[in-house]
Amino acid sequence: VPELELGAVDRAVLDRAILASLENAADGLSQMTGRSVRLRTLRVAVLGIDEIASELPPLGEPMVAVYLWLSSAMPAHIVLLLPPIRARELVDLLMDLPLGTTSQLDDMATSALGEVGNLMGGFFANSLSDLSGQIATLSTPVVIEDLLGAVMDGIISQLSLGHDVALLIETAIQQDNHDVDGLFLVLPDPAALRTFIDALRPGHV
Amino acid sequence: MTIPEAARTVVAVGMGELTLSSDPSKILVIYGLGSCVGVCAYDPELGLGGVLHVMLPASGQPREPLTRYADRGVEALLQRMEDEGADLGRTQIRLAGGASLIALESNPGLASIGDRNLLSVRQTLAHRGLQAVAEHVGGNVGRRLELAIADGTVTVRVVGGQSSIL
Repeated sequence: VPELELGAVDRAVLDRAILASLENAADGLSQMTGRSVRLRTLRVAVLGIDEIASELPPLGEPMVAVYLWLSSAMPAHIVLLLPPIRARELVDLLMDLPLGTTSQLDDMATSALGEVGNLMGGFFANSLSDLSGQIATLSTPVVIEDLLGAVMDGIISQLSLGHDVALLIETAIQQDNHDVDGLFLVLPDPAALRTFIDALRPGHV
Repeated sequence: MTIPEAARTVVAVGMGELTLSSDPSKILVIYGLGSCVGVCAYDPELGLGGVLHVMLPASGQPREPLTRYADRGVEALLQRMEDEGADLGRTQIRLAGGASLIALESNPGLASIGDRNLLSVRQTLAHRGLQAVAEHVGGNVGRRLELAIADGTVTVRVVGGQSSIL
């Protein structure tokens, strides 16, 4: 994968930035829900574009996705994925309702989930911004309930424009030390990754 | 031809892939179409069918597999059908997908991929004097697409909705 080959120093710089950003995003969600939420890094990997789809949960499964676009020195797709039942439980938690109350994702529920994505993405973006000194702007969240393949195919297609490989940051969401079947994905624009890593290096001016 | 459910074999057609079959037990499936376009071709005389999973409109800076691009992919599908003996004059073409699930002003390229994929597929077909006999395209919903090789039936399913025969 020559166009995105990462050396040991690159990996260390990237891992440090990602870890700090994910901790920040988890803190945001903990504050919002009043529960202990952590993001456990499953992988930070350079994958062939064609491999990404096969590394995700089954593409034919319905999923609730909160999508955000990060405009910055490192433009990135940020996607929070939750199985439909987990998304509804999260809405109940956020709105202080008994578990099982939310059956449909109405405007209120959609707005609550959008806020979760907004907050996690915002903390992630702010942390990256602090580390790199680059301004990061986050889009408004888009909440979708659909087949996972349908949610992800446009993102993967856009990543593949002119590139064979991409960086996948995949994290599991843990609440009160239990995995909740959620994934938080960050897929940076491959063209900007080198610029971003250089900006994160100690002593960079 | 009726194939017992248990005898059917589902074959997934991944992003950018092209799959052909004349085995009546086969069901060619794309599990989740968003902005991608599924192109089904079926020659009823031969019982030969193909499914193409288009990701991008055109091959400006082509990268393998070339079948990921609408222009190269549709050409490859038609060529492979002809190579296997299909008569394009009687081949039925059906399209699904080309949706826009994520519409954002800050990333307009993402929102427009579906429309551009559809346009490129239709243009490439038109260059060969062909057009789809049926379409289930656009909007902001994902789709599951199936082509049954036994009889050429194309089924499209939307999350939370009923299946429809194209």
